[in-house]
Amino acid sequence: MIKRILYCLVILVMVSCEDVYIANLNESEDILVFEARITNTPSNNFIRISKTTNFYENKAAPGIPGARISLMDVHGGEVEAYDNGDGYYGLDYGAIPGQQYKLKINLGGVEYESEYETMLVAPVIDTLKVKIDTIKYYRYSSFGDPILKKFKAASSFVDLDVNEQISHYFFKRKMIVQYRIDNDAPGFGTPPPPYYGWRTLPQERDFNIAGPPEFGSFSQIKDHSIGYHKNEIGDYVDEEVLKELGILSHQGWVMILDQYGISEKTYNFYKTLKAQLEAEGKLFDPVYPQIQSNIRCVSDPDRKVIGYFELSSHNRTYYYHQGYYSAKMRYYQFDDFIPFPADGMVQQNDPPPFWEYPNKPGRPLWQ
Amino acid sequence: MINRKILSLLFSIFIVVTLHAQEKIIDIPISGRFQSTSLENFFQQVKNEYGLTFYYQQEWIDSMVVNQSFDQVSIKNALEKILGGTKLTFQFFQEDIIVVPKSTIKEYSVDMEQVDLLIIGDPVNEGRYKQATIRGTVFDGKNRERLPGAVIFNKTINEGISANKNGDFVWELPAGEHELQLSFMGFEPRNQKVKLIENGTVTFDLFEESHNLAEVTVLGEDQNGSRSQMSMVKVQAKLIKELPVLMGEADVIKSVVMMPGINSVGELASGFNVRGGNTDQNLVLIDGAPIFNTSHLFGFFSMINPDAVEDIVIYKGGMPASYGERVSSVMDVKLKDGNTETLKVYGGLGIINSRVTVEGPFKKQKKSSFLFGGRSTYSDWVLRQMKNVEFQNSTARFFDVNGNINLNLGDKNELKLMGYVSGDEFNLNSNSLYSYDNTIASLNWNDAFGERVRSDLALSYSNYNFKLTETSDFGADLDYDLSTGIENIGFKYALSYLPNNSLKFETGFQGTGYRVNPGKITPVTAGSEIVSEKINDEQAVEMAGFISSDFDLSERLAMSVGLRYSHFLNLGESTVYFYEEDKTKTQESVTDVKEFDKNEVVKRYDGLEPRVSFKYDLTSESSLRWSYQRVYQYLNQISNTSVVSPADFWKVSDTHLKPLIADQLAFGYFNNSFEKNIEASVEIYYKKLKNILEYKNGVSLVMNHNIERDLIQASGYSYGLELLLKKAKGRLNGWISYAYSRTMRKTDKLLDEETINRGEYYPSVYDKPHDLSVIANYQVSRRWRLSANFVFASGRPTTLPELRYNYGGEQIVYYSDRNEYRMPPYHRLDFSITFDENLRNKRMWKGSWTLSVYNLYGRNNPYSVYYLKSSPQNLDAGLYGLFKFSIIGVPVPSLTYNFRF
Repeated sequence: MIKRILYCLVILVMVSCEDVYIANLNESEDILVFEARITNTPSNNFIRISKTTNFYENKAAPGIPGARISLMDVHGGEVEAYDNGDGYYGLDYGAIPGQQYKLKINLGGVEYESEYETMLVAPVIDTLKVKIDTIKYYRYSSFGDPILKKFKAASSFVDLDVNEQISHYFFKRKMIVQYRIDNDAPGFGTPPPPYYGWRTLPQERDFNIAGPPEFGSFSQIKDHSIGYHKNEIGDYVDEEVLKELGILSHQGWVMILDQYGISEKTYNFYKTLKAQLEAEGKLFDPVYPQIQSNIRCVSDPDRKVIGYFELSSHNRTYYYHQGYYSAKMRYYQFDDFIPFPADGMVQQNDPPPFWEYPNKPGRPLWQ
Repeated sequence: MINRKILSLLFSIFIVVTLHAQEKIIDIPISGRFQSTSLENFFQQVKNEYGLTFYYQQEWIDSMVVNQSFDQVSIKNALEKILGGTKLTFQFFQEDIIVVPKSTIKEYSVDMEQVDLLIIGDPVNEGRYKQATIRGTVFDGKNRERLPGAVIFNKTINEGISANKNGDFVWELPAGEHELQLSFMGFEPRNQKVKLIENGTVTFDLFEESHNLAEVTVLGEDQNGSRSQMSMVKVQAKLIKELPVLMGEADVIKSVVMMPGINSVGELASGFNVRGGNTDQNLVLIDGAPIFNTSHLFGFFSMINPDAVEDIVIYKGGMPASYGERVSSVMDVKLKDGNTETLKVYGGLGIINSRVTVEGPFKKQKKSSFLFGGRSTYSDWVLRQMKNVEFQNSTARFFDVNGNINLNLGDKNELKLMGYVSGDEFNLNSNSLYSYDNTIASLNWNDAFGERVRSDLALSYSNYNFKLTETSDFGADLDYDLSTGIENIGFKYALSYLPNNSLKFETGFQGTGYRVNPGKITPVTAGSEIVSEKINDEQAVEMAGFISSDFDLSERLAMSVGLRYSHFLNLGESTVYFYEEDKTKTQESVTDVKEFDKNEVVKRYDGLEPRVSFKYDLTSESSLRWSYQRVYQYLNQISNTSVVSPADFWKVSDTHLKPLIADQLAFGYFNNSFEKNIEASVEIYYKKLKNILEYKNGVSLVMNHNIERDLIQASGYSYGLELLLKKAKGRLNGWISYAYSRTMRKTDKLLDEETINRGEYYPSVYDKPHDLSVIANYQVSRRWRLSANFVFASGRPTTLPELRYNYGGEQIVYYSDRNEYRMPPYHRLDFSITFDENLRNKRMWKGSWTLSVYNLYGRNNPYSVYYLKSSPQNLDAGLYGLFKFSIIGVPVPSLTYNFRF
């Protein structure tokens, strides 16, 4: 009994509380926000201009069109961006490694400029691994009992080079799950064609950045996680519907991986963004930093501007791995990726041309 | 047997106490048939059966017999029946009964009015001297321990003084009759008439009250300060133990924050803020040795064992010239001397920790004594029993051991050795294991040369080490230890001279050596991929000389002047970078690099620190006081967390980091009415600070080889009004303190990166305009005591997101100006009830139970307000939320058993 009382008392103390807090915030003037990523891949370049909104404002601020934007190099070369609408701008230019560039923006006669940034060499992945992981987390019952939740997932890891030319990376990946449903063979005649289905998962939005460990001299970043995905088909499509159609005979994953080589300064910028998003206000948390901009208003230096001009090298690669758990599960890389149409399913004898599968003609032999 | 005179004296001292004591004893019912029973046997039987002890002279009761039968008759009525027709009568004292002849009572009543006249000097010399000096010592009459700080008030001339830390006092008075009132916290006041003929020596005994009443002494005049001293708070150990506290563990720091002008940093935060200053601006000394981390268990407890504390003195301003080093305050913790008469053991059993202390003489009556104590926690075991997995995966443990030895080397020579060791370790369900330890030692040698000269030599050592063990999810070869620390060696010699009662001189010098480890990385495993890395140790020496004098300018005006000169040397070995003027310090703006050899002077700073204070007596009970002080601080704590963390490290002033300088002016009105038992004070102050440490936005301070590039030096000011109203004695006692204060800062540089809030003034993170504390203790009966305290403080300034925007598909926020907003106010009510098992002096084991409830009405006081990637308010708009985090949002009861034997 005394033991129970003791526990209760300590629990009472240790149960800290987290409540929603409604602050009486001042109305502030909106500030221009520039988000710019220029790479060696023109189709990947974009600049977006938008504005801030007050914290409790329900509507997101629309993009701002009509700006004149150009990328300038140190030799005076200038490439102008084009307006894609809704505040987005494209730039038909592939930045050259080793060159320095800055961004110049004219919006309504007001001039903005970034600092000069240096283009890095194209990033490469040294090793890509996929392995089965058990992801564990705890939920608590209404009585406070911890309930262990776990699921199996395919986790992907990369090893990356660290050298004088490139040492920091940023990843974005898109996962497409493919599945094939075979009909039960009828008693006579040819069986009906199978169903081929696919679904593109929402892009992971976390800022996945990689840099060498803080202390030490490293030539490699090892086992950097680029994410995990659950392998249960029922997590993505209605299993009951699938069962009505037939038997799931194949499942696989296509991964479209965008790898960026970023400067240490850009790495720190993303690290600050992550810190802001992951803050928990707990004991000994650091004072929250304001996100710093590398773009300033030239016409009026006192004018506040938010945003970042990121000059990063880019490399897109495509991978496939089978959707079953085995020790042999691994990615293979392929180059002739055919874009998948919107999520869907077709019934036909041959796989659609974008369909990826082991031993597909033109692929390395799957063993 | 006790002779008649002593009995008479006992009566005269204890009569007031008996009024309370009787209340319950007189009702104790007794039963029994007593036929031809001698009175002595009757007393013995009552003692055996009811625990009541009788005091008497054998000759008074010889031949007296009892022939009575009692059935549940109160002891009072029984004794009245037995002694009714005799020459004897009786009185109750505590749980005892004193039997005396009726004539004694008559004598006593005469004594109470006239009090025994104490003649000092040879009557032959009466009228020969106009002035004479009393040298006295005030003792605890029970165990002959000296009572430091006992107050001696002269009702005849309406003046008072306090005994020094040895219970001694020296007082020059006009020859003639004086009526003295002696008082000491928890002891019965004693009135003593004195006829002063010529210089002489006296001793006074005071006796404990029958109950413990919490008292705080906020003194303007004390052995620690000058007669014009102000802005000083003195907290007695008794108060520390009687306030309702979290987990039932008395806490030194949590007690002092109840005083005006002293704020708590927050729940579970170590340190305290004085008049808006940072926590590193407080010099905390234990018996003269500095402490660099004052907390256990990430702020749950103070590092000082409350059982070992004699008293605490905090100078918020008007600092004596003998103190310096920190600009906001000096907190001087005096540890108890061991009992010189008997061996005593006491301690407490709490929910997550326990403590024990042993003290006693090496040899009875020899006045050399020892005191050893220790505390340890079983919080680790408790955490393991938790359902919450985060707690199960956490670690939290600490221990501390303290000890001191007092060697009495003659009447005027005393040596005290103190040692303290502590260790802490905690991990909050993460890969980071925090551990830190303190090792502290001091030697204090007090020597009196003749009657009026005294010297104090203090040597001290303090070592604080912090270690963070970071384990990696990717293998042990990426595990590393990050360590920081500071080592301090100091000496101080002070000489004081008191030519007469209205003049005092003090002079001395001190030296402090610092060795700081700003950061070191070491791999945990052999063959690790982590490379050892170290930032050069910092070495520095701080020296100071001081001189001061207290004197009376007139009957009503007293003055204290002091001057301190501090000299600081930053010593090599080090590499110093020099930067272009008027440019932000970066690698690109480096103009020169200079290497300094070991012990070579890298940078030198010095400064004069004047101290002046005045006191003008308006009446015998009230005075106006004014003080000015300047203090230099050459040591700073580097931190970019919102509260002080054990990982914060220390840094000495260097080529780029100038010393912090603070000037403070204070003015106050004080009213100490001994008669009315009410004390009141009002103080206003203005403080100006130069070279305050601030940080550039988002910098990383750990293992930073060029930290000067990320630091900003700012200026600032604080001002405030502090009120205190206190009733120190009586069944209901306590105090109310209120402070209104502001603390503002401003960056001076015009460079963008080194400017905060466009160079405008902004509130410091410790700016809490309103701070109210109400403390009340009520003695319900001899054994039951209630205590409660209520605190209210304005919320801490904070920086909140004002704007939001999308970036990279995420919702990011743009924060307001620094500290533009304020968290909700902090308020809390605590309550405790204490039951003393028994109060009898003869009973060896004395225990008490304290049930306390911390945060009685379960206020969710905010620890922090922060932006979280969670959508509590409006999912459609993708709006993430602001959350308030409270550490203790529920009432926390605790039960503690304290004992002594």
